Amino acid sequence: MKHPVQRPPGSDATEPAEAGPRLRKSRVLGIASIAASAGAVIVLAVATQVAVQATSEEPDAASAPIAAESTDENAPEKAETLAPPAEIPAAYDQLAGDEVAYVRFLVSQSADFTAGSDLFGGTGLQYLSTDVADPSFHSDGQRRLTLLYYDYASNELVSFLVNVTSGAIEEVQRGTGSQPAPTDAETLYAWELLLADPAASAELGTEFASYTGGAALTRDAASVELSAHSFTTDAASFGAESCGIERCVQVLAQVDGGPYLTTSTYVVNLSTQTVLPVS
Amino acid sequence: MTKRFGALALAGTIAAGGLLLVPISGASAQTVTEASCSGESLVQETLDAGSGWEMCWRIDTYRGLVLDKVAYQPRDEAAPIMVLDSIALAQLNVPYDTGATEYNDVTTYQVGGRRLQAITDVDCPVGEVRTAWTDAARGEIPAICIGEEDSGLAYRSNITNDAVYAAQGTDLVLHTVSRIGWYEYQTEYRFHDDGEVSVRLGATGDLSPNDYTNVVNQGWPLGEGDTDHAVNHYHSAFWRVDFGIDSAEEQVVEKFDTDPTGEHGTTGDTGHTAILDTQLTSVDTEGKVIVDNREAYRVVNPDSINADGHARSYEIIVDRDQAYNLNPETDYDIAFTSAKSDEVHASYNLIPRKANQGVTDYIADGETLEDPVAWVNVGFHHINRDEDQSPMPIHWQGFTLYPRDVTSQNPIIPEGRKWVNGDMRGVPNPNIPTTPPTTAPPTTPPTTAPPTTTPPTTTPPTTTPPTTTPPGGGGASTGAVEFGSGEVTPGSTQSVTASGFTPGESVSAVLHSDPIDVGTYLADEEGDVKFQFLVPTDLPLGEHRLVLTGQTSSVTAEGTFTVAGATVASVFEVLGNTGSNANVLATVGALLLFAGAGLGFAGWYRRRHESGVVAA
Repeated sequence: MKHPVQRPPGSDATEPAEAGPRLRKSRVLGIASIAASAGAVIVLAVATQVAVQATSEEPDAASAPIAAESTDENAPEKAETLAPPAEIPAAYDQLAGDEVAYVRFLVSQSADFTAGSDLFGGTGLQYLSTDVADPSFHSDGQRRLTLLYYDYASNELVSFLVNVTSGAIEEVQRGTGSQPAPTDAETLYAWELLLADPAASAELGTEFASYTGGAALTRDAASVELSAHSFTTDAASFGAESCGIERCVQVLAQVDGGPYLTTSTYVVNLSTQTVLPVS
Repeated sequence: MTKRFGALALAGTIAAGGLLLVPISGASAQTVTEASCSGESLVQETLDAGSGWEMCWRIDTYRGLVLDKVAYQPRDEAAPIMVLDSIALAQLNVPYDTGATEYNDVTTYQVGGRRLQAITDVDCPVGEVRTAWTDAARGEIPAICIGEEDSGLAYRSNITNDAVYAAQGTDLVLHTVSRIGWYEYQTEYRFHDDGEVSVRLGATGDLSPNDYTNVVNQGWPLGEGDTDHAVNHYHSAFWRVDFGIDSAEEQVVEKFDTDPTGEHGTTGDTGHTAILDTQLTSVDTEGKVIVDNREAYRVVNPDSINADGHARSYEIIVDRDQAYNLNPETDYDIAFTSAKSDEVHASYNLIPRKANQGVTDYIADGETLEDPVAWVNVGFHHINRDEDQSPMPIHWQGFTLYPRDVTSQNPIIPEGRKWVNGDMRGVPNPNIPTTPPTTAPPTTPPTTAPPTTTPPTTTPPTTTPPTTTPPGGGGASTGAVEFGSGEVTPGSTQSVTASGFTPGESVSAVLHSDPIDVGTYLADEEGDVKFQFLVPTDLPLGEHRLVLTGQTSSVTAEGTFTVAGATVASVFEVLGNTGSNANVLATVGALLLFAGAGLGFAGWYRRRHESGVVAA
């Protein structure tokens, strides 16, 4: 069904007195129409471009972040399978994210990994780091990475030399007494243990309140930035004599605005999950 | 991200962030460095002086910035010469003077990984920012600044009647920034155009907010009056330097030891100038040393010989008396060990087979040195100052790797000084042509009859015009000089224009035939040189040649002009150039002439008008 076109009032072409304004209006409308159409074309073009870019800018597996901790749900160590990286970097190239994920997965498939325990007592070693293994000690030009894990079951540092090119674990070393820098998970866990310790929690809470106008110090306090260093006992530290053989950390807690809470009087023994006052 | 096999950035010029990274020219085959890394990891740059550096870089979780396969290409060499297999921080030990606190930042905090800071514009005002995948949580971040920076005077030598041989230098600089607790560190490597390498660590950020003491002698008062003593502390920075001079199969460590003989010379201002004796001995076994006064160490490749027949080496230059010689981890300036894959950190080693060991453990067996690695420890005792409060001005510690006989001369030598090699006493400067002695014509005619000659049976040889070697020992090319005037008078100003030089280089200007230095000028961005000089008043009349020599490019340009006797016009010109008094006089004279002419015209007009009236 068709409907007759209804002319608007005053649109009769037989009314010459109004022809001028009508024409001007019509011209204005025509220009507006053209402008709108052009605008639409531009918007569509931009939208298309954005869509194309969005499609083509999929995260690059070589440069994107991956799960930082072997205890994360989406950790490469927990993957059922993981393909090798599409391209293998040259021997001296910097790290690529996809190769790091791949070698972590390879390590997780080894008996050395599954025999160990992580920070929380779960099966599998605690991941620490991946780095390029010095290529000058190999003459074949193949890509090799060194991975460090910590075995909380035996308090051993475990290293894996993995050949990315061949997909083989070429060497596993174990040693005691060496404590690399803690991971974010270890740092956060040490912080939780500190806050769970009545004495430490009371001291830190009072200090935190003085900086924040009385706010309560909780695990999730967004106004605290955490970092930590591994702690090895020395002659000046009384109370943490086992640290070094066991894995200990000292937490730095910076409150918004710059001040650091006084955490230097405590060491957290992650191996025994205890808070140690030191002097 | 382009760090992949087959993605070599060799084919062209990479322009990014205003920095031009130009592949080093002259080497057609793939270099060792090019074969070792690719894409973003490969740095190649030819510096303004024409020399260049290439290397691979990466970020290590603990050590931070690691440089591998570092090679230097002197300007006139056909290919890069390997210098280092690798260099990186190996430990950063920070004990506080109260004895209550001690940190080992490389191993227990990390300098790379999660501690590496994303480079911002303020971190990298000159050069290019490149990215690196640093840690799992962040993935790829802007990690390093790479740029060519001015380094000041490279050399200067004012050779009488020849030229002022002078040039400004540049460095290829790579640096990263790490945040470790309240401190922030800049790791910097500075590769000079003359082959030197400056290795530095800069500390900034904040002093420890938790380390104040009541013991006055263990800190420095930062608050008002004698209060708030911030604890003094040491920063002992260690670098592991794995030499690979000219891709050596074998390198040796040698020690320079200069001692007084006990005897004295008889000349000199003091009258008792000591006679010194420098012994060079090889260091054959692993060990560590506090470097003594007048003592130095170098690593030599005995099989790599420069053009003068000398073995190429690099010397380690360290400040003395700065080591924290109070525990076995830090009580040395330099230690030498044989390179081993499980000896990575200077102390608290993280490789399980040698867990927690350090240099003192590595050298304990006194093993024979093979493939020497130097562990360089630079201590800095930080006695705090008021000025060091937040944000703390950056303070530096580091050392220098100094090329010794890598090239037979200055690797960026100006062309005009290439003739100087060794003891040149008695050898005239070839840049200054000598005038052959004039011989008087014979005063008596020959008394012997001229010999009877037979026509030559051979065609006389065709002679080619002699090729003149431009002063400066043979430049790359010779261009023309344009003068403001082909004929000038003594004392007048001559304008000079020439082109074809390297932008920014120094260009010497020498008048011939009696060499007269008329100055050294800088070529502009187009490689053009424009200047004026005052024609010496005692310059003989006749034709003179001006020779311009680019001190970096060796390009020369020359042209001739004539010095003529004074004319009326030249006198006016000289007057005009001599000073304001002459100008004033000339101007007043011209005004008087003009006024006179005007008065004359007025008189004439009046006369004519008056006569007209009379006539009417």
